[in-house]
Amino acid sequence: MSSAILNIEKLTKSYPDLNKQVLTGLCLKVEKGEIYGFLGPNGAGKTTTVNIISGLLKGDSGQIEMFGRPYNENRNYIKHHMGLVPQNIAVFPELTAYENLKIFGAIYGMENKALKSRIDELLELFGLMNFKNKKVASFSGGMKRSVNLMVGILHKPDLLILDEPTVGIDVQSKMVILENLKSLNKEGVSILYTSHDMEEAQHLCTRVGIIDGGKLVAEDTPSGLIAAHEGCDDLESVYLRLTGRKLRNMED
Amino acid sequence: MKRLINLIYKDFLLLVRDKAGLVFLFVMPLVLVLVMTGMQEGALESATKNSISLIVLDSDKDEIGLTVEKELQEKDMFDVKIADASMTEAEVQNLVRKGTYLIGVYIPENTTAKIQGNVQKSIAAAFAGLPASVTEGKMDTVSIKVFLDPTINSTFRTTLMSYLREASNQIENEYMFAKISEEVNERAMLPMGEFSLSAAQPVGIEEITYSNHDDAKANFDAAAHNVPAWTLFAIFFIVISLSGSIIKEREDGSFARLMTMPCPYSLYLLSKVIVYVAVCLAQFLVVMLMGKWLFPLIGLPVFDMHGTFFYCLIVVFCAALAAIGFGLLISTFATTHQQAAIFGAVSVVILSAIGGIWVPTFLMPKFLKALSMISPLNWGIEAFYGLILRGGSFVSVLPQCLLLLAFAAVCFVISLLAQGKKSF
Ligand SMILES: Nc1ncnc2c1ncn2[C@@H]1O[C@H](COP(=O)(O)OP(=O)(O)O)[C@@H](O)[C@H]1O
Ligand SMILES: [Mg+2]
Repeated sequence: MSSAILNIEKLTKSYPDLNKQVLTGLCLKVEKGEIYGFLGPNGAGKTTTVNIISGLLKGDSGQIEMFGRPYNENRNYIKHHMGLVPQNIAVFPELTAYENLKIFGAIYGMENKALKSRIDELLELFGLMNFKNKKVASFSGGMKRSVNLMVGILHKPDLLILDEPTVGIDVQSKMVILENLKSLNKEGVSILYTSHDMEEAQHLCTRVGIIDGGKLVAEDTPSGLIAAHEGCDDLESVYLRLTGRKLRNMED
Repeated sequence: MKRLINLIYKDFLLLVRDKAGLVFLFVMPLVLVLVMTGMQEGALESATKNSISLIVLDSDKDEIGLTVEKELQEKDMFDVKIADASMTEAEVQNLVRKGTYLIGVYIPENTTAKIQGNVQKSIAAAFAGLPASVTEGKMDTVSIKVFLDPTINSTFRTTLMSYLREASNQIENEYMFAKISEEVNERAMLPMGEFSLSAAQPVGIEEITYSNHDDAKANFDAAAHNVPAWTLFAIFFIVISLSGSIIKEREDGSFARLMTMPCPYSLYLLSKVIVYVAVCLAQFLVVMLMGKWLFPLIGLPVFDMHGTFFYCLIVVFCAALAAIGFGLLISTFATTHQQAAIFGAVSVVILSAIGGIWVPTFLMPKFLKALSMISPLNWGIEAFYGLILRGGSFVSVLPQCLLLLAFAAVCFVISLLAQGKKSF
């Protein structure tokens, strides 16, 4: 249907115990090689979307294609070629950083030797080599986030989906993560990345889409969006104009 | 395969990192077995006022039969059922073998008549002035058969035998004196030969215990009950550890993450099953070895499986699957692991209490005994009794094993259906 690596068409979703629809016909397309910023206020439905495309939730209606294949018929292929970094840290806290990476890597079917060197490479990159054999439960928040991220990029997926990967970590760690995402992207990894940090998105993304009210309200390159909105000189002001200044629910 | 091995590795690591959980899984059963065996040793022996189910088949329907019936019914130790006259010896035997009744008493046809005949012969000989030896070999053998379940302890056994002996001797002696006075009245004073009351053939009481063990020593003692009982308790206690681990993985997001990876839910479960089956087997080995080696050293009865070790392992395996199914079920419906732990602990304690783990079912009142059959732990302990005490073949405990497996299957199916609805 298209060369898009991810293509979402008219996706809707509502939760049984929530009377409003969270996604109201979301259309979203990530092309190969992009770093796509999926932006929106808290409660806009970013995580819901991520959970649907990672297979943890079922949408009510709409179509999803990934790697040019219909989603439901190619679950196994998609699982192998997708990497997910969930918003909440999702690793085994009682296992060490190394054990976590080893086990998740093996689940992806990575070969032992390649896996070991990849783990060392990542631990080095994120400055966690000295904590290799320490339980993740004993890590600081930023270190946990790093492990959470490493699990998602271990197998160099074709499409990497990150749900607010930089929330609540210090500037240094954030820089490491963002630099790493850029270099992964150079190696050919397409990225879908959710955030409500506009500065970060403007700096990182090749294209952004802004979701509000359950569907995209704008989509373009950061500079394209800024140019299209008169009087706006950065993504944040565009965003505020589009989504309004009223306070959003603070839940995630 | 590599995925499975890694999942197993993960579950194993999570298990051994949980030190408190390990104490629960391994130290608790050891302490329980030791304490309970020590406490019950002796107590089981002297337990008296209980209704032990007993069936009497009286094919004699004459004096001796009626006396025995009456004697037994008068003792509150036994819960006596008089078998239908249409039943056969084999049927009674079978009821005891199956454990429906713990004791079967069979009084063959013409027992009274034979006793009378024997008495008559010996007296006739005596009055004819013949030595007692003349009548030897001419007597009819008279015997009452008693079928015993091996769980009957020696106190009950001895008591029962002495009742029966008393009843039959009493009848025999009554006849003898009646006969003697008859003879004496008939023949005025004639010289009598050697005469002794014991000349008549005594009534034999044949004791048949249902144990197929060659050594036939299988005895119901505190070790034979407590070792399998607390092993089963420990096996079912894994529900806490298992449901806890499943819920923790659900809470920390690692489960959901695994489900976004090429890791089928079935593989995830299989790994848990393998790790926890291994835990259960280890629990059994640890408790069993203690019963075998430590018990005799500290003056407790030694635990002996009479060569049924491998069959016992199969029972442990079935019980393990039942426990794992139950744990999975709990984890499916509990929202927090505290909830699962409390519900798991309480339900296992209750199921074990009614299942005859704390107190053997044959010491329970009737309605509890009936209730005990709903507990999977009861199926487990009955299977162990069948193997260790009754010396049954594996086939004889197959029903219990199948029940355990069916229970496991039902738990798995319900959990999978509920899980399927949630979709991950
Ligand atoms: N499991 C759930 N049950 C009910 N409502 C939910 C659930 N998850 C999210 N929501 C609601 O759906 C909306 C979108 O949530 P979410 O996708 O997490 O937003 P975002 O990630 O953009 O902050 C919010 O209003 C949230 O309260
Ligand atoms: Mg979110």
